[in-house]
Amino acid sequence: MEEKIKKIVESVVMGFDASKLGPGDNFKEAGIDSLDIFSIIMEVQNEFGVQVSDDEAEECNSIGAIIAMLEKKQAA
Amino acid sequence: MIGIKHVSVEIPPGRLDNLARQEELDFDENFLRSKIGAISVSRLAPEDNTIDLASRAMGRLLQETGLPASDVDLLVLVTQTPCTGGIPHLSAILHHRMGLRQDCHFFDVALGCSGWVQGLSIVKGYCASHGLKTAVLVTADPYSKILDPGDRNSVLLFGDGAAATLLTERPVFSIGKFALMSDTQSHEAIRREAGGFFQMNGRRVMEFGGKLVPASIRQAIAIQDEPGLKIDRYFVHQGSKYIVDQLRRQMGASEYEMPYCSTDYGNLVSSSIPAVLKQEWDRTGNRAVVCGFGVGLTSAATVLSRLE
Repeated sequence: MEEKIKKIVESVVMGFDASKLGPGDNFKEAGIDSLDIFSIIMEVQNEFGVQVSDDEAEECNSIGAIIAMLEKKQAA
Repeated sequence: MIGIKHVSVEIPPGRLDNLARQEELDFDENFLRSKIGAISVSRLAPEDNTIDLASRAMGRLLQETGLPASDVDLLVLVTQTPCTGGIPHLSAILHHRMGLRQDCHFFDVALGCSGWVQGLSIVKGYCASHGLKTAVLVTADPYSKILDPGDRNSVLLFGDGAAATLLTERPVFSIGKFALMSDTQSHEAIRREAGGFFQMNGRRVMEFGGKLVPASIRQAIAIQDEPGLKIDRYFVHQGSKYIVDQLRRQMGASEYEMPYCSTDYGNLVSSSIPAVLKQEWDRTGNRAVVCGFGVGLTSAATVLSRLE
């Protein structure tokens, strides 16, 4: 799941190398801005077939946070 | 059949320098250049309003083409900021200011960023129905009048502007069939309460831009009933540099094929596509997609074919 999300990050954020992005690394601190985060979440929705609410999107500030959100949805 | 003969654009000379507002609105230069795209935004003089902008655009069209005002059979005015409050409709004032004939048809259309493309559809169908030969489609929206000056999600994006498009039976571009896609469940994503400021939910608009806008473009190409139709250029609504970049990626187009050209003046709402078409007039190739999207949420697209 982590690798899939890294691929999404690289496809959305032009010129970004996601290989060194750890699961807990904050997107904004890594130089990924709010518009890119919107796009990442949009692609995550398409890739994993889930719907992410605005409140859930607010929490998606790292790869780990996206994984946690997806696991929570899968468990529900 | 009626098609596009000429486009005139009116962008007021006033500019608000976005770069100078980094500290005030808390953003960095890279964000402005790579995402917003507009380094400055055009601003109408405070004493002027929508009707002044529309009058200048249409006045310029008559001047540039030498078309006598008495030749105009139909005037359609697209705006979401009617400075009269809606009564009378602005096209009545514009009809009077331009000295159009008493039997010239005219009406307003309330549409946002898809308004020019949908306006072409209306004009094409209306002229065919009533046997009219010469039409002017005016788009005019000084959004600065309704923006919250402290809202960086909108003030950095929108510029004031207008366009006037001449449609005749001896056009430069013929107009194809139209595709329309909408997500009205998200109608509140771009809205304005009566008397209040413009509001936009960026995430909803981005989602719409990522799914239904490319779908409307693909549908517009498919419905022309021309297998293997080759598109040379894509003139899409200049919402922001980012949304054009994302759309370009989705459509597999190059920067030349789908340009972002609004660095100097910003998102001109329903006038953004005619402004790009005007700039690229001699470089359209044989076939160009035009696609407007936004308020509604709606996305309208068609294919223009060069005839001369």
